[in-house]
Amino acid sequence: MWIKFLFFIIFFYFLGVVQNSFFAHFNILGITPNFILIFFFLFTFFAASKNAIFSWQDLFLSITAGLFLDMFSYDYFGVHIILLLIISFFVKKSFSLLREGQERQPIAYFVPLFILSLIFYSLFLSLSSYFFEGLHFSFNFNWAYFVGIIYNLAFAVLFFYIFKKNKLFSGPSRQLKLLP
Amino acid sequence: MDIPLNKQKIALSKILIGVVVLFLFLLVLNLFQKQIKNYFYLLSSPIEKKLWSAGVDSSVFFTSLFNSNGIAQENENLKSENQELLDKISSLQDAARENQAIKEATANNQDKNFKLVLVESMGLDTNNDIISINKGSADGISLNMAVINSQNVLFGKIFKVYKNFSEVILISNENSVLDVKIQQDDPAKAPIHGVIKGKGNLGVYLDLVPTDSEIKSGDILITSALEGIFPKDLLVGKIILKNKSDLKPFQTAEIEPFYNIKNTDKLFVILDYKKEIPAAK
Repeated sequence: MWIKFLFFIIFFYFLGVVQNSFFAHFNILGITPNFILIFFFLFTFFAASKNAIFSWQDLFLSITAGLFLDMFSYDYFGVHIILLLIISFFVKKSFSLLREGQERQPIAYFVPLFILSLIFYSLFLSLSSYFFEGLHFSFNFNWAYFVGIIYNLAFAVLFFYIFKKNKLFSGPSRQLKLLP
Repeated sequence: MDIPLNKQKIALSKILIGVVVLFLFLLVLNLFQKQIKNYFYLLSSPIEKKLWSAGVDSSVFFTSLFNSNGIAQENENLKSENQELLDKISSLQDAARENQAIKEATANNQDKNFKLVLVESMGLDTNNDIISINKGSADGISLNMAVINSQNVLFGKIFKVYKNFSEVILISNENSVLDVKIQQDDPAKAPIHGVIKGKGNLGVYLDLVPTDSEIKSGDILITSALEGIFPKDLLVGKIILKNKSDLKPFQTAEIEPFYNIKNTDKLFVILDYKKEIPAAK
């Protein structure tokens, strides 16, 4: 089990370095894909499709991914951690409320949940910059923002199908419950 | 009946302990934030530098692959722009000869005010238009120092300083405001001032230009040094499209900035700029 956690740490670190350095040059209207967020969401989504209970693994994922996002941004430590914890709760809660069909991980659930998480992510960061850094509130739902959502979604959907086809990360086999 | 209550109590106490532990963990991290981030960037900088260079090469390759027609057109545009500039140069040469001695003296004084340190960019935070560079307080860098490239194009200013690396807030950041002058063809005309504001996503726009001022597409914007952070005459961008409305007290314009993150491999931080007090009229 600890190997899985070590994998997450190395994987999220690698994603952070790649998105900050390599993919900075592949921006569209100044937007680059947020791979840490994309993969965090994928891991959480596929785990939630198996079991909608918030577990220690979800907590670890939120802290690890959030820590690396904080490291690569100018925000205080904890901003992204709290943000990803909220997103994780949101995904788990959504799965417990959504009707379960024949398919365990339908794309029809994935896409709207991802888009909502992205919007919430931007809004939360704008608010934290406003309150903690004294910068002006800068959440602009404009054409460039829409393109950014599509750009991130394109990668998210691509990896969604890779995950699904190869049955990657369907969740922990032994669930250590954190919350009832 | 007590068993479910006990379970709830255990769950609540777990949550409480978890929240307290997380809070303490974050508190410690934030207390040592500068040191932690400094060491993290020190360790990551060799990989980031390699990936940054690889990203530049790859993006240039793909840009040329998908934009071959655009490159040919751009080449033609540049040729005709070059011709116009040569024409302007010849007409300005007479005035230039008269001012040559004064210009040399001014240039020398300007150079004496600049002490530059060469830095390399390593990463870009596109959410906030901030780039990270590989030098910090150990190299004499401090807050609000201007960052330029070798062609005197302004990129931004130092926003956060750590021991071995720094973060540069680009002029396209939404919180960035910069006073500029619009270069006039006729040097005898009074300079037109405006303000460059960042609009995020690596874009800027010109604002607060008086409506009676004549600006046009192709006009070059340079720093005015009025706010005392950036030296004067640093290149900022050029006007693409002006927006003038009788209903607004000021005119605005869309700007193509000169800075390009694809060419940010080598940058310079101006360490020792002395604010020039504009001559009173």
